[in-house]
Amino acid sequence: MDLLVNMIEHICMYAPMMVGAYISFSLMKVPNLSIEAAFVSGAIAACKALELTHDMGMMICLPAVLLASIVGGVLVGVLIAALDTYAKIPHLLASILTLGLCFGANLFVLGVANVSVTQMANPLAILPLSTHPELGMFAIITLVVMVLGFLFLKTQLGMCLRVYGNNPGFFANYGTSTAFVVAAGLILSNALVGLSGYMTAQSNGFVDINAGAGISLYGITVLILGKTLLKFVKKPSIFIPLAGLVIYAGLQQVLLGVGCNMRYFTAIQSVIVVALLVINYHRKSVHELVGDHLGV
Amino acid sequence: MKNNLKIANLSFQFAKDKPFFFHNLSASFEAGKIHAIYGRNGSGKSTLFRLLQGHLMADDVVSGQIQLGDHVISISSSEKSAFNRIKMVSQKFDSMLADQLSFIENLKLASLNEFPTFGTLPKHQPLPDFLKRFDIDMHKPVRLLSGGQRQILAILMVLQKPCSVLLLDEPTAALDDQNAAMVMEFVRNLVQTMGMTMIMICHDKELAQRYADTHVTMQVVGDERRLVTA
Repeated sequence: MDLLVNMIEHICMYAPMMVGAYISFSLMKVPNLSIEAAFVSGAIAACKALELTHDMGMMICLPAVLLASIVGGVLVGVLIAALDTYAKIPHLLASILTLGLCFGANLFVLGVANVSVTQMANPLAILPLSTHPELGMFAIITLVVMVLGFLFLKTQLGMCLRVYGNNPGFFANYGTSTAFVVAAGLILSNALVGLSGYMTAQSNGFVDINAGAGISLYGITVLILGKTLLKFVKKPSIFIPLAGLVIYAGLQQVLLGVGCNMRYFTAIQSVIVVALLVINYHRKSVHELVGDHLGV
Repeated sequence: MKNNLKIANLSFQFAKDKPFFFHNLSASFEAGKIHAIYGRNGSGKSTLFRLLQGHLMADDVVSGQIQLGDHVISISSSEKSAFNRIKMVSQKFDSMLADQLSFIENLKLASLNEFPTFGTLPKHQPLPDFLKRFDIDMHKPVRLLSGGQRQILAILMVLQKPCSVLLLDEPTAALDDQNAAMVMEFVRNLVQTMGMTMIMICHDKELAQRYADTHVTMQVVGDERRLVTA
C-alpha cells in the first residue's frame, strides 16, 4: 500500500514537469536543458515567497508560493527564449548558457547551497492523504495541469508548437512570428518545470541548489518510455508523458523495494533510454523517430 | 486594374563594390494573366522574385520602384508591410506545409495572426468552387496527398492573407507530367477567378506555352540583365 502511495506521490510531483518537458522536448523538439535551471529557480522563488507569506494564512500563502514557483520557471524561460530568438544562439548552446547563468543567479538568491523549509508552515499540507501531508494538493495540482495541458494541445499555440517541431521554417511563409512561438513554448515549458521544482522541494523539506541536476535525463527517459508504450497514439497527447511517468515511478519503486541504491539511478535511466532506442530501431519503428531529432 | 504590377528602373548590386546585377530594369505584368519567365540558372529570376517581396540582405544596394495598381512602393523600402500583397510559393513547396496535419488544418494555420493565442484555430478563407475537380481529401494528413495536391495546398495557404501578385518559383519542377498539368490547371482557374497577377519561373517551355498568357526571358548580355518578350 505504502509503495502505491509513494508511487502516486512521485507521479503527481513530477507530472507538471513532464508536461513541460513534453512541450519542449517532444512537441518543439528543442533540447531544452534549461529545465534543470527552471526546476531549481521555481523552488527558490517559491521558498522566498513562503518566507514572506507563511504567517499570512493559507489563502494568501498557497497561491503566492504556487505563483512564485511558476514565475521562477518563467524567468528561466524568458532568459533562454531571449538567447534563442533575440541573440540567435542555437537551442543547445542557449540551454547550456542559461544553465550557467541561472546557477550563479540561483546561488546568489538562495545564499547557501541548501535551505530547509520545514520550519515554516507547509501550504501544500492542507489536504493530507494517508501518511503523506502534501498528497491531496499534489493530486489537485496534477489534475489541473493535465486538464489544462490536454486543452492546450488543441489551441492555436499548441498546434503551432507541434508544427514548429516538425517544420521550424513553417511560420516564416505566413506572417506568424516564429520567435513568438518559440519563446511562448519555452516559457510555458519552464513555468511548469518550476512548479514541479517547488512541489519536490516542499516534499523533501529543503531547497537544494543542485536539485535540477539530471532532470533532463529523467524527462527524456520518461518521454521515451511513454512514447514506446503509446506507440499507437499518432497525435500529440498529454497521456504520453503521463504513461511514461507511471511506468517510471513503478519501476523506481520496485528497484527501491529490492534494495537498489538511488546513487545508481542516473545510470539506470541511461540504460533504459539506450535499451528502448535500440529496441525501437530494430523493430523498424525508428521511422517514427527519424524526424524526431531527440527521439523523444 | 488594381492588381497590375509594374517594375520601374530597378537597379541592384549585391554590394556597393560589386557590378550592377540589374540596371534600370523595367517590366509590366497585367492582372488576370499568367506570365512565364524563362532564363538559364543564375540569370537573376529568383533574385528578381526576392526583391519583389522586399527581402533585402544587409549588403544589398537597390533602387527603383514597383507599382501595384495605383500604389507605388520604393523597392528599397524597409517597411515590410509595403510588400504584403506580393506572395510567393517556393520551388521547395513541401517546406511550406505541416505534413502531419490535414489540408484543412494547414489552411487554418496559414490564416493565423502574427501572435497565436490560446483560442482555437481560425476559420480559413472560403475555398474556390473549382477545387472540387481536383479530388483532394481535405482530412487526410498532407504527407499522404500527391505532389500536385500538396503544391495546390501551398498556393492556397499563401492566399489565406490578401494577395495581389503571386510569384511561383518553378511550380512544376518536382512533379510528373500529370501532376504538373493538374497544378497548372488549378493556377489558370485561380487567376481567372481571383483576378490576380501571376508570375512564374518556368523551365518547361512546352507546359508554359500551354498555360501562360505572356512569355518573357531573362537575358544576360555582358553584365546586364534584361527581360525580353519572347
